[in-house]
Amino acid sequence: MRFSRENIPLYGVFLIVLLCQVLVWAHMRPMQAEWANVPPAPSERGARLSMLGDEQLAYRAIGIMLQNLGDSGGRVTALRDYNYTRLGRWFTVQESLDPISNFTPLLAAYYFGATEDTDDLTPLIDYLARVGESSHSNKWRWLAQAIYLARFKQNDLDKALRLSYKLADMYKPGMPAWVVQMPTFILAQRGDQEAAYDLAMQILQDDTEHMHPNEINFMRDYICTRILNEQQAKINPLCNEQ
Amino acid sequence: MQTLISRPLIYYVLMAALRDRLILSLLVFMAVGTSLAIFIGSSAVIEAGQFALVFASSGLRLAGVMGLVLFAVFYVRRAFEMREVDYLLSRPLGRASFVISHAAAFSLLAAGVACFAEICLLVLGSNSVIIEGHALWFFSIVTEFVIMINAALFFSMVLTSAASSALAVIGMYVLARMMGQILGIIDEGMTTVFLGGIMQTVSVVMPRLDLMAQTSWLIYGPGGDGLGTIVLQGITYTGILILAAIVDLRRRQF
Repeated sequence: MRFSRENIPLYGVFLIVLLCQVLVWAHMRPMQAEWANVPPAPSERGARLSMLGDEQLAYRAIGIMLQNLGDSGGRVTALRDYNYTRLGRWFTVQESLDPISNFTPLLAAYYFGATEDTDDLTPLIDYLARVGESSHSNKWRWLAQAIYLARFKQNDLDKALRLSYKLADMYKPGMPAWVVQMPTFILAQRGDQEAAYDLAMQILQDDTEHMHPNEINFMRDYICTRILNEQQAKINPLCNEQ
Repeated sequence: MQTLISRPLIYYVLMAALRDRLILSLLVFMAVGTSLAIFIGSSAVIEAGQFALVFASSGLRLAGVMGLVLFAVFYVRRAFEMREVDYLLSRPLGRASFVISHAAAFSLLAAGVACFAEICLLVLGSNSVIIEGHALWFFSIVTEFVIMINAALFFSMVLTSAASSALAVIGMYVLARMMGQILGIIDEGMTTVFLGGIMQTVSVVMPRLDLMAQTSWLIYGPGGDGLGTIVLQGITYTGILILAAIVDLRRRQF
């Protein structure tokens, strides 16, 4: 294309528009997507509708969203900053979309359950207890997780005891013996750390065949970094396994 | 008496599909989509395989429908505009035979794309494939693709614009996928009687695509009403679409 004097006004307008775009960019550059905490959960029907009626797709899409919630776009959010009441509602939606999968219970128990704010744990414990009472196979261990959180993190002995009776009632042949002994275990007058360690180790030792390898790793990490202190972890064989 | 199905015409349509870059692009897009689903699924802390399978099957389903619909709509509109329809109808070929042959060719094409989608899923879930679930999903997705490509045939014959035909078919697809939820809302009395009545009437002429190709079958095995209902839905709705297209073509003046 040859340069022509007739096109000079056109080039001029083009440069002005380009300059305007650069100015708009400069104005908008500092603006970044802000995280407005956990969004309100939709209804079960709303979640299905959003994925064109495919409930399994809705479950998985929400699952990935919950897993990455608050930790995207170069941002990392502390667990204490999450709105756990809303999280609990998301978990309820997930429970209705897929009551069989262990993905959301795992997120609730091992990831969101690591919060230091014990009041926040109530929606998680309620959710895990509901999942644990489900008739689907091997869900009882989520009830055991709920008991663990209630007893050793929230220090709510009454709630832990109430849940432990439910777990003991669910005992069937093939389940580990400590399921029946759970109420006694909760009532035992032992140090919190020692009892928490014993319970977590029993869950880990007796149910590994039903657990996903990542779940075993989560549990091992939890024992070594949350229950045991640094000195204890150094001499514990579980924490030194490669 | 003329035969209802013209083999040369079916061959002609299938050759057009092969020559059309859209089908090739669709197959490449589906393969890339499956790879993307594996990537996204692998980020899940557990059940990564199930996440990938669900994302892949949902993506393949949507991509398959969109690709087939766009191909059928643009093929039919181009045939009208390039006077191919006039030429073909000037041959010893009845109007019913013209529509049925096109429907048969499109349905074969739909079945081929469904086969490709199923192959992608079998490769993806090769470690733990639930055969019954995959079989039901496959027959179901064939039915859905056949319904949608024949809907595209009908709309592109009735509407004169390719864009409006494509939008009409996509709109119908979205509505058909959400129909189960909409009917649930009506049954719970969450709408006015007037709106509920309108949607009930619309639902009579809508296929229940929400009951088809459920991704949970791939993970937990078959469920729902089974193959019988799906096949019945496919036969009745495809029959309606083909007959409606024949009626429209018979009334048309060339």
